[in-house]
Amino acid sequence: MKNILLKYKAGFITIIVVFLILLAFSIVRYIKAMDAVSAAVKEKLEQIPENEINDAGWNIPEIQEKKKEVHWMERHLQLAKSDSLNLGINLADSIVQVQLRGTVLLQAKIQKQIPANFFEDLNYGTYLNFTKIASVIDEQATIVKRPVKRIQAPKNEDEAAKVKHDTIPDPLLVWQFKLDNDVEVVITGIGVNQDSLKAVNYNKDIFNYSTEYFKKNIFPKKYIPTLYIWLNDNDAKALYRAIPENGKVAFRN
Amino acid sequence: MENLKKILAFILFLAGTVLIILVFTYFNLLVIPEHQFSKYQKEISKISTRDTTINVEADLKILNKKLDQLNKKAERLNPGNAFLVINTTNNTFELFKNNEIIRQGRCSTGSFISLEVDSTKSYLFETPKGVMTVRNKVTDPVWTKPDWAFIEEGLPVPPPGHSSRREANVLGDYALHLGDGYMIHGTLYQRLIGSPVTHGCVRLLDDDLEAVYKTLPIGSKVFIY
Repeated sequence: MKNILLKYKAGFITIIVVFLILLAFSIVRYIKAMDAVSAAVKEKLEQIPENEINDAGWNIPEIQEKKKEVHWMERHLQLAKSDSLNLGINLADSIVQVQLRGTVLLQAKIQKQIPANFFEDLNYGTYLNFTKIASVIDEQATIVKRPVKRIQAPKNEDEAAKVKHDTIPDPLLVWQFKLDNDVEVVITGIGVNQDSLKAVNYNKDIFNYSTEYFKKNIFPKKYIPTLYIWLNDNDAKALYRAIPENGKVAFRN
Repeated sequence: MENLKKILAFILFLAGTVLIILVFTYFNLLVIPEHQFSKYQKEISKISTRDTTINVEADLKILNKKLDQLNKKAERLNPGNAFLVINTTNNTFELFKNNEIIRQGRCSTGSFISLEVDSTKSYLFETPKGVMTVRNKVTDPVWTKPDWAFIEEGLPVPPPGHSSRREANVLGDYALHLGDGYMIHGTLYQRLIGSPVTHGCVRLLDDDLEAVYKTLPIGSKVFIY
């Protein structure tokens, strides 16, 4: 063994050097990432009044649950005043819903959520901030919101007979949106039956999203907590196409 | 022997490289984001340290009362005895009566085709999203063909009121008018129900159309998303 190490010294030194470079890179990246979190925390805490943080009774489970229910209903009623379709993400009941004027039009069951305990133990002030009605400020998706197909009007009956309306099936939805309450949500559509649900590799999805994030943020400067949700693809697409651009979103957990 | 050593060295080199890459990837792609979230969640969630004594029962009573009031307000938003919900993405409908689904199935909604006539004129065949109201109900509806129906067929557009604009027996047995020219009606092309093929109206199968027609009185809400 010793002979091998001596004989191929250069190769092993290369490995060690590469390891040390990657290690140094990872340590610097970790420090930068944590600094970004500290900055985000500081910014967030500045938005929250001190008197709301120290709410008496919030630490008592029955009162906390009741207050959460009251706030959810208040948000629901507030959104009902608008003529726009809006989104409700109810993590407590694992449901994402689209509603209009107080009527729930579609409820989609959350098949999987990462992190599993997304903001479950917030203080009262932070909870109010997190669950306030937020607006979508930036969004991207694998399908278009309005799938408009342009066709030229035929000049005569013969031309009209030749017009074909081909439809290309949409890919599975990945809908990523940032909200003005400093939360990012990634909704991923998955197959519709139980067999295909079993085959879903959520970790692979997370790995792909993290790789994309890594490419764009080698040394992260800003941190936004991200909630990953997997829904039935048909429901996910219906939700995505229902919610207008810059639509409103309310959370409950 | 020498060959074996070479192979062993190569395997060690390969294993080392793979291990380094795996550790690096795992740490950067999975560990760092998890640590970021944990730190963020922990630091923004600092729990109250103020020592407060409260009357839990009294507080719960107040909260329950507030919740009752909110629920009553929410009930007032109820869209009425019967209403219809249309999903234009999946081309499905749900008919509600007394807050329960009494019928659901396939429908057809706008094709999202934009028929380009010239550089200044085009028609977009889209079913509008939002809430609409049943304005009128008719049996044996007769279709008054708009301009686009002729343009789409490559035919000359007749003047308004021309007899060629009126076409019977193409909208099914019933039609419910939603305003702005949009209707819920039947179709001759039943096999296309479930696909986005209409010019903006909502098409239903004959039996579903009859159920919707009989359930929804004039003034009922139709939610389209």
